[in-house]
Amino acid sequence: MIFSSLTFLLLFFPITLLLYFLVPNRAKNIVLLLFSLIFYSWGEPVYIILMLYSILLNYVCGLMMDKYSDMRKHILIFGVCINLFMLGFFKYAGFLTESLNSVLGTFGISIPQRDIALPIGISFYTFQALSYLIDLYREKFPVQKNIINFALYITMFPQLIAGPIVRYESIEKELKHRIISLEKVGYGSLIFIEGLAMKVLLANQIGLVADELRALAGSLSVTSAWLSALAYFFQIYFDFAGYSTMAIGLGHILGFTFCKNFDYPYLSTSVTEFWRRWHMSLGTWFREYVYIPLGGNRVSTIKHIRNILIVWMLTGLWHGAAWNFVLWGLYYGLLLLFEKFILSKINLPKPIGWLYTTILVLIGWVLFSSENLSQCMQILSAMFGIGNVLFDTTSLYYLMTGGFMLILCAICSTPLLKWLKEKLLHFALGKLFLGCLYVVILALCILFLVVQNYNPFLYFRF
Amino acid sequence: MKKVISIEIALVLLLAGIMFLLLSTKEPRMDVTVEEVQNTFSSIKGDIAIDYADALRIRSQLGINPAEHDMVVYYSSAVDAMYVYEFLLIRTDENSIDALQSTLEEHIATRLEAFRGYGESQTALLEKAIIKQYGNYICLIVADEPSTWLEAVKELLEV
Repeated sequence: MIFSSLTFLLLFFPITLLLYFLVPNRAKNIVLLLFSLIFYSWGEPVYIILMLYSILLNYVCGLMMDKYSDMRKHILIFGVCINLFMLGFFKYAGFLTESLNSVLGTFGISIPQRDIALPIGISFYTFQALSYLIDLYREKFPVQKNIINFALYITMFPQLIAGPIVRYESIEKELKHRIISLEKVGYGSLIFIEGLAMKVLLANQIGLVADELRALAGSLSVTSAWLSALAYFFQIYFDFAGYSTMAIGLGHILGFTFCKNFDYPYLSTSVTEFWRRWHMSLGTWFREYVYIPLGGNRVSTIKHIRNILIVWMLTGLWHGAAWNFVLWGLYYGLLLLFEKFILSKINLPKPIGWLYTTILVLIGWVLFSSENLSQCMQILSAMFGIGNVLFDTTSLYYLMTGGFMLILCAICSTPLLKWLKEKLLHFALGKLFLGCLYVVILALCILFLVVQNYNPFLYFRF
Repeated sequence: MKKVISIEIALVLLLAGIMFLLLSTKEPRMDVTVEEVQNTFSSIKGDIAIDYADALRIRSQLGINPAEHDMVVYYSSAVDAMYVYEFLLIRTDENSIDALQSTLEEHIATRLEAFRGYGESQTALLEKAIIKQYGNYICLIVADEPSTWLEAVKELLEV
C-alpha cells in the first residue's frame, strides 16, 4: 500500500486514526504496531515474516548487549552481520549471480539463478535496525526492553517503505511518551496534503511526460532528450520528496517528529551541497556509520579519497542492485572529490555553480534511471547532439503539452510557495484562504487518483 | 558466553528456516513474452471464437490503457457482445495491481448485471470467472473450464 492510493486515503488511514485516538495512551503503540503490520502485509503478505524476524533479531541482540557487557562487541558484530546478510541476500544475490555468470559464462560455467523478489522497505528498516544496534553499542541510549515499542520503531508505517531513515535516538522519547494534540494533527495534515500534492499533482503528471519520452530513447532530438531528462529530474524529486513529506506529516498527526529529508536540493550551487539537501537521512546514516568509522577526513589524503569512494559506491548500491547504480554512486564520488580537491580552490559565482550542479545532477539522473547502459548512452548522446537533430515535432508536442508542468515543477522546487504561505498566515483572511486552498488541493489529488491509473512510486524498489 | 552463543545459533537456525520457507514459495517468471502467452493460449483455447485484441479494444472493452503496463495480452470477441469468453494476462508494477484487480472485478460485475435475468449461459460463465494474481501478474479468465486455462497460465509463469 502506498500513501497516494485511495485504499490508504479513504480506508486504511481513517480507520487507523479513529482507533488510534479512541484508545487510551498506553494502547496507542499497540494499535499503531498492529496497523503498521497490516500496512506492510497489504503488499507483502509473505515477506512480513522477514520483518518480524528482523524485529526479533535486533531486539534480542539489544537485550544481550545490555546483559552481557563483556561480549558487547561480539554481539554487535553478530547482529550487524546477520542484518547485512539478510539485506545482501534478498537485495543483491540476484545481481551478484548475474554478474558472476556473465564472467563465468565465457568459460562455459553458469551458477543456477532464481529471481528473488525484493522485500519492500528492507533497505530502510535494515538501516534503522543497524543504527539502533550501533548506537546502543556506543551507549547513546539505554536498551529498549519493551518489544512493542521496539517493533513499532522498526515497522512504523509512515516511514516504513520510503523513509526518512529514522534513527532510534531521535524518537526514543516519543516511543514512550508523546504529545498528541489537535494542533499537531492540523499541522501534520497540512504537511501531508503538501506531500500528496507533490506526488499526485506534480510527480505523476510530469512522470507521464518522462515515461513517454523515455520510450522514444532511440529517436530523440536534442530538445526532446533534454525535456526527457528534465521531466525525470522533477519526477524523482517530487515523487520521493512528496513521499517523505507525507511521512513527516503522518508522523506529526500521530505525535512523532521525523527528521527533514529534503531541503530544496535543486537550489544547490555545488554537488556537495546537493547531497546535503537530498535524502538527508541517508546521507547522515552513511556519514555516521560508514564514513566516520572509516576515519572520515582525519586520515591521509589517499585514505580520505578511499573513504569517499567507498561511501559513494555503497550509496549507489543501496539504491539498487545493478551496475548503473554503482556507476551512479561512483560518478558522485568522483564529483565530490573534484569539488573537494580542485573546485574548492576556485570561487565560482553562484549562478554558474547552480548551472553546473543542475547539469551534473541531470546527467546523474539519466545514469540512475536508465534500464541499461545502452539506453543511458542513447539519451546522453542525444542530449549533447551526437548524431541527433536539434528540434523536431516531438519536441514541439512535448513542449506544448508538458511545458506548463515543467514550469510549475520548477516553481514548486523553490521555497517561493513556502514563503507565500508564511506571508498569508499573518492575516486572518490569509489563513482562511489557505485552509480552503488545502481542501481544494486534497480534493484535486483524490480526483486525480480516481480518474488516473498512472501512480508509480519510484523509490519502492529501494 | 555459552548462553550468548546458544541464542545466536538459535537465531541463525531460525533465519535459515525462514529463508527456506520464503524460497520455497515460487515467484513468477518476469520475462514472459507476448508471443509465449499467445502460443500458450492458442494451445488451450480450442474452438472458442475469441481473438487477440489490440490496444483500442482493450481500452474500450476493459477500460485499461495497455501503455500503462508492462505487458497486456487480451483475447475476446471483437464482434459479438453476447460472447463472454475472455482471457487476459497483464504484467505490471506492484502499485497498479490493486487498481487492476478492482477494475477487473468491476468489469465482471457489470457484465453479470447486463446478462442476469436473460442470458443464462453467459451468467453461468461469468459467475465462475477467475481473477487471479501472481506477483506482478494479474489474470482474468471467463471460460467453460477456467481452472484448465489457469493451470496453463501457472505453468507459463512457473508458479
